[in-house]
Amino acid sequence: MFQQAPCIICLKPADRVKDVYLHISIKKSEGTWNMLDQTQNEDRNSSTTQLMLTFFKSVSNSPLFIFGVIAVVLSITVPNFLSVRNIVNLLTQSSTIGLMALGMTFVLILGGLDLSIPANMAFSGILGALYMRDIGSPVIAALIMVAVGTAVGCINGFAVAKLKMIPFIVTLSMQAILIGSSIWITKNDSVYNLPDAFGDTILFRMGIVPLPVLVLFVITIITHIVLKLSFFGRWIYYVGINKNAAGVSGIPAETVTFFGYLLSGFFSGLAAIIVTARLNSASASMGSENIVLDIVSSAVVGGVSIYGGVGTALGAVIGVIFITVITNTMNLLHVPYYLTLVIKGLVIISVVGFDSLRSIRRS
Amino acid sequence: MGNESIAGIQAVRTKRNVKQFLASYGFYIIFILVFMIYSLRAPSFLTVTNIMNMLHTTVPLMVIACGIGMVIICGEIDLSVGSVAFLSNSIGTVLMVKAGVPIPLAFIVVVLTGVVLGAINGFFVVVFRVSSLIVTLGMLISFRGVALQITNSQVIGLPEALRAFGNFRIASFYIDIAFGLIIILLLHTLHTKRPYGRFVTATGNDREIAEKLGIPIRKIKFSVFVISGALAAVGGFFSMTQVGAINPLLGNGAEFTGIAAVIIGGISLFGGEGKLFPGVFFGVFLLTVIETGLNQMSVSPYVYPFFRGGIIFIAMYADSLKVRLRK
Repeated sequence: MFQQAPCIICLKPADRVKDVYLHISIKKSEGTWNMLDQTQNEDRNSSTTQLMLTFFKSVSNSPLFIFGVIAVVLSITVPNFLSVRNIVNLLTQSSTIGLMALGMTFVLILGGLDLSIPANMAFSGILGALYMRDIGSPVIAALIMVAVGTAVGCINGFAVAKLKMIPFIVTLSMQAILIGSSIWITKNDSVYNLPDAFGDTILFRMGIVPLPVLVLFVITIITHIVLKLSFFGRWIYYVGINKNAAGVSGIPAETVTFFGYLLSGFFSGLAAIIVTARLNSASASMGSENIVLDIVSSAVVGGVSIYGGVGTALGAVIGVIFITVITNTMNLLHVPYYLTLVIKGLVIISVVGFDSLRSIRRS
Repeated sequence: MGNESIAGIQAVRTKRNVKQFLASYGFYIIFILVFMIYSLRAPSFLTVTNIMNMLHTTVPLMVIACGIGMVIICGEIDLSVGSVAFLSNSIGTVLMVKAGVPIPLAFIVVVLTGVVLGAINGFFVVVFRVSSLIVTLGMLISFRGVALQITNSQVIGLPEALRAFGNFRIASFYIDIAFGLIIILLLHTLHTKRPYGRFVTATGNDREIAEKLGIPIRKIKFSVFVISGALAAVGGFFSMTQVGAINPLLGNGAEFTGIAAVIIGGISLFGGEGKLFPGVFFGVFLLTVIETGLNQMSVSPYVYPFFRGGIIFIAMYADSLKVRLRK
């Protein structure tokens, strides 16, 4: 009756993921494919303590730990850093990048990349803002932003999953098209004169905590749980580790990939709402490509691998807060803007380099 | 019954062949079609002056795209070319204008800076084994930051002699077209005729097999980034002399158009395939032709990204189709 037939398949790992072998155990009684892999931060049981344990393990394993220490040192030495006002400001800044980084996390874990996230954010923000300004209801405008973002994500997903195109190029051309059309629609001007109700609602403060921060908090937890505990989440990891193996073991790899990009677009739409509310306007310049670097570097600093299959939502968001802390302290220390760019670029490269050196040593 | 199945197989084969043909040569068909449509719609399009002008506009991007092409053939990617072009040339310009360094010396400095910047990319990719995508994305931002600091984000005019060089022409033949063609042909020869070129292709084809064959893949990869850096600097130099000044937007977006041109020209992003000479040359030329044509048909410039994006999308699809058909 209860027949457990564990078959261990050692598959030739995908290009760069060298140290991952899939152990596939089939439980016929449950009618499900339950795959267990040996990546370090994969947990089998779903109890909360284990989840916490896994989380701490992955934190101390990731470069985040070292940089967290640096962040603490900075925060003590830099003046004005530890004021309530600055912290709230910092978290509000993190909320938009955080939402986009969550979207990117899905795509990165899938082994892909979405460079169109900021452009998508700008484009959907502009469409929503135009609706609000010319026709009315902010509620529908917010829905439009999310819908447009998701639709763009669908196109990306279709091209990557069904047409088998390279994610990097698909999203790069998508970025060019979206920025082009944003400039076209707005005549390179910003869309302002938005209804007050929109900004007031979105930036509503509960005590001292602004709504965007709360939203980010809630969504991060939901995403983390979805990724770690749901079927869909596990599929994303498996597709990221080895797409062919996942396909062979019955996971609808194409559909999973499609939904990953869809979610990435969805989160861009959410971020568009908050950014538009904060700026009280929308323009094509919201989608500057520097933001992509912020998003990718946050996710990578937070322990999400760009080679796919590794990373958590919580880690990504902590990475975002860390990157925002760096930017913030450099602002407080009056470091020139250009130097900030240089330092950020170097931080991401060194973090990834550190990570890959360690994985070389491990193998 | 038997005949039917054979006919079926043959039908599948023909379909496959047609697809394969379209994937490999579709771009030339598009090129000819675009050229014909424009010539019919805009009377000023098919003139020697216009074609020379288009080639002239193409030169900087063509030189940059050659570097990207080598990197992509080697199975890596270089996104930092635009910023390398900007940084190396801003150093050169500041030396020329502020310190009065003679032009040939400044040019050497520009190229050497490009080499050094490319070497930095290569160092991170080879020694730290960071994905080239991440390294060059980081450098895209960092180099531009440094360059903006150096030029103070200002437009700096070039010395008169250099400005004259950029737009120097004999009849309607611009001199830099010759330089561009020489560079692309030299690289093409290096790629197709010399052992080094074979090594690059082999590394891009399959890294592990190349390593087993005794090809020094790490040196090859490093050298490819150096070449790309140097060519980005030279391409930026041409672009700068054409404009007559260095502006903070020099090389902005060159990585995107450059990669697009390379892919359109049939170099596969999966690595190990494609040729620089007819491919990259026509790829870059096609992008310029499309924009010039739209311009001469007085289409709104805001529509350009759609055309460019659409054509790149088709090229990418053809690329992935080609790879899938071979399997």
